Amino acid sequence: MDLEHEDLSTSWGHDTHLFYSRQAASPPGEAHSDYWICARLAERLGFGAQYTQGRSEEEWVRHFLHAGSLDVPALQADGLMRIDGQPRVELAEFRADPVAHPLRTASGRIEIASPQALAHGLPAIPSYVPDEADEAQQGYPLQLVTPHSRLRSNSCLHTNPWLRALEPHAVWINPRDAAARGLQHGQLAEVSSPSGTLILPAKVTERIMPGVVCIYQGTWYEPDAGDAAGVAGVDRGGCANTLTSQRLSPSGGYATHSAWVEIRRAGP
Amino acid sequence: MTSAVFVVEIARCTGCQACQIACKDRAGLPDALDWLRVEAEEGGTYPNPELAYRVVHCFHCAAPPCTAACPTGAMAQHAGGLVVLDAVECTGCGACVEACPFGVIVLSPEGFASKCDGCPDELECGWEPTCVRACPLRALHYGATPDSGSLEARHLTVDAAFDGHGAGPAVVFLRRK
Repeated sequence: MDLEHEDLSTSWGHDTHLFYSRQAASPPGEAHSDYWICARLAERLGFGAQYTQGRSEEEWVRHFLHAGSLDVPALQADGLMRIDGQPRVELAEFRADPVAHPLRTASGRIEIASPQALAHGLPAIPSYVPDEADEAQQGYPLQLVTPHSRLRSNSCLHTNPWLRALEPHAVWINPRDAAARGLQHGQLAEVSSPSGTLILPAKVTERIMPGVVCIYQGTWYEPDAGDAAGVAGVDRGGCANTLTSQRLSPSGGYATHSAWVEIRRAGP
Repeated sequence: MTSAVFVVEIARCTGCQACQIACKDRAGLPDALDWLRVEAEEGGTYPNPELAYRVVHCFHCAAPPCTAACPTGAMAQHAGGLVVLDAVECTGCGACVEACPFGVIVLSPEGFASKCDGCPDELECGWEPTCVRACPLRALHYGATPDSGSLEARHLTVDAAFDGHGAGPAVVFLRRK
């Protein structure tokens, strides 16, 4: 649903441009916009009115278009507009009057040292904290990296057979590390970490640093049956997340910064 | 014979394989079949690894070994230089597959020869072939053989590794000097 509804967007990562796109086609079949779906989910969950604030999708676009001092006809005619020349003051009300417009922190002020972080067992100011995974590396001497593959968009398109066939999924390993493990190019490798085990072919290549192995992220988890004792199955899909911890940060974010693994030849 | 050649700039290719997918899409090939492949040539030792990609498909040779090997005349060179397969005449004997020194003719799941047709319909429209137009790095070209002066100016040199079979493939691979 990109071409099927009117929308406003900014340039990704840098708010230098504003884009306006008018609806170019009718939604096919039963397709609906994200806003339509979220609004109805919110309604079912009992906070529909708070979510929509009484505005339809079109009304939100109008609202944003006319909220500032934009030259709306020019934006709608050109489809894009530079906005980096228009300085925007962040927290303008707070800066003007911090007492009347406190922030949503405990003190209402910008907190350089955070008592809230301290209460969660974190340093009050940003500091280096050794990663748990780094401390647990005993017996797992290889560092795993999981870059994006050009064959997928994260896990999307993994089921496309044409794209899958372009490059077989594999664990990249330097010839020196492979030789130390009796592992040859194309042989099946068992990759293990404290979190799990997967099996996939080895790609022995000088393109990876000794001590580091690489599995592209995004392939789908395909565990085998596991054993009778209920131990989780070995992942045959080569899903890199099998090997990473699921530790969350106190604010709920994914907190894995390192993943240490060991590799051995799997079968003949 | 054709005067146009395929030009593959090895120094520009990142191995994205967009050409391969575009070719497959235009030709409507089955999952297991490709007319175009991208070969990776790795070398060197960490921390100085080397990597080059070579786009390979039928290059419509000046003296095609496949047409000479074909017993029915199904594989033939047309006036414009393209080597074209007549699917009706092909018996699937595989002689052309054996004869091609570049391994660019494959047998389809139905058992008949299958290969790059040179996009004759697109050339007729005045376009470049699909693979050339699909390249986001502009590493592929189709047209006149680049002259030595322009190569010199761009610090490129002809890579002759793909020749040497006497078939005269209509391709020029270019490497950085």
